[in-house]
Amino acid sequence: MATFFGEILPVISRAVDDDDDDESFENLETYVKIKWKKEAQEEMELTKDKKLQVNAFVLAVGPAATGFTQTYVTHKNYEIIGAMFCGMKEDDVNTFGQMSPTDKTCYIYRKCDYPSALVCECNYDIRPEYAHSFVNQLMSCLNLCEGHVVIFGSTFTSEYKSDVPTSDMNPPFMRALKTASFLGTPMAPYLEQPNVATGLPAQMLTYCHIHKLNAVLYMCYTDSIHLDFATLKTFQPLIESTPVKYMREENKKASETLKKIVDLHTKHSTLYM
Amino acid sequence: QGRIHQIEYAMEAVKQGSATVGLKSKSHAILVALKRASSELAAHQKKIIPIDDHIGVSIAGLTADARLLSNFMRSECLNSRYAYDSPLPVSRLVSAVGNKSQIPTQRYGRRPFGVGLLVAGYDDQGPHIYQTCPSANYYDCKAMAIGARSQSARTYVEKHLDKFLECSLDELIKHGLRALRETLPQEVELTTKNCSLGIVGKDMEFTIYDDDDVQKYLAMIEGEERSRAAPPADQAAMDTQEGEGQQPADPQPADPAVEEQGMEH
Repeated sequence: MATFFGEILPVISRAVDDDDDDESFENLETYVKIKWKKEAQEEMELTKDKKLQVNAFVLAVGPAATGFTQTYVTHKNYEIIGAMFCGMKEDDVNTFGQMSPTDKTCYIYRKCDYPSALVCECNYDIRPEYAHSFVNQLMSCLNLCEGHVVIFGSTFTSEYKSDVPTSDMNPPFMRALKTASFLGTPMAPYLEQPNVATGLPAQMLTYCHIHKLNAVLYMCYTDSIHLDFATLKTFQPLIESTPVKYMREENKKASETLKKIVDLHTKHSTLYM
Repeated sequence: QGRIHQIEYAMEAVKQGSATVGLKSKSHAILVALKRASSELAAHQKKIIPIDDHIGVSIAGLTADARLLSNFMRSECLNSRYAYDSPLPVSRLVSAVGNKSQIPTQRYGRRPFGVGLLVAGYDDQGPHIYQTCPSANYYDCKAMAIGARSQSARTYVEKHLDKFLECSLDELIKHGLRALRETLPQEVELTTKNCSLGIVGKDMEFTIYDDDDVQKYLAMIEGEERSRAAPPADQAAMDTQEGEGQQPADPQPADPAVEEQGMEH
């Protein structure tokens, strides 16, 4: 750059960062790791195809979905048989026991009296790049031929495109997508065009569709950035969905559990009053 | 389309704050506010902020922006008392806030204030309730509710609007608490922990009631039947039972290549 007085100055371009970007993307395939309990691994060894026989599988992604499954499904009579690890970020807060609903964890639960029913509660924010590896690693250990899969997820109404203003839609509301093999009718209206499901829930549904599994995805559109009661309650009718109705555990203290989960999530955020 | 999105986004921030309701009668103006659960380790963040003896505000949205605006309002009131030896009329204060809020909606490098205020005040003209917006608009209201799920509170207040003018203070407070309760789900109740009350009136300086002080007002509406909220339009669709062996009702794309494609919609 020539200045008024004729001297030449070096120009700093904002297009190129001189310091190296520290965040180099981890290897896509090995970033996500799955670990099974010893007993589960031994069971897998005993089968012909080295997979667990699963008839009912629930994948809950995000705090709203996992809050729902923790309250109505896995709170009792379930044991952890595996976990998936996707690295912790700087600002992730975890308790030592890793059992708080706000912890960034992904555990795989099995029903004690119905061993072919599995629930995977994923509280990580799985980036879309890692979703493929996540689903592949998880599903390569499960034999789901005759089984039912249901996926619960949530996202913001700001992602929802329609000609009706979102405030007229009474958020939070539920939408569903299903695979061709699933012949029933989901318990929520189909997700209208041009909306698309994205991320881990979509990856799982795609896997199920390609492998001709019966699967339904339920996506809750919420207008609240914090987890709130209304969002959790939108999931409630889905305890009657297949296969959740065979896997649920009656929870007399459901309201208190839901309240506790909501409080746990709201305590961390002080930005908005 | 001619929309200024930053302002609209800022108005969305107000909807992320918890609900608050403002009502006025012939003699008093009140604010009731829902407090979010907070950590036991830290002191409660205030939702209703005193501005002067005759004015108070309740906030919804970004806490820090609210603090800034309320500091500004306090200094305006102080300056007026010093210069004119009389309380600042509420309308003037609110228009000063409006003018201040407009600047960052038009200046390079700045963003609108992400907070909405409900201003309750009493001056020579009587009691007032004003609403301010990140858009720098302000509204003189008979009654108003802002924040998350405040539509239900607004509906309640619209229904009972003609009663407020002649109300006694206690009745007015009961209406305010009922309106606030409308924003809560059926399972959650108003308690001394989640509720705040502010009152200003003819012979009453702006006073805030928190925690145990709210109990006597909550007792007045205890046991009252809550109106059942109308189920969302989706509920009817949600009740469809899953049937086995039914063909999906959605239209099938005519293209035979659909088998290779991903999801059916």
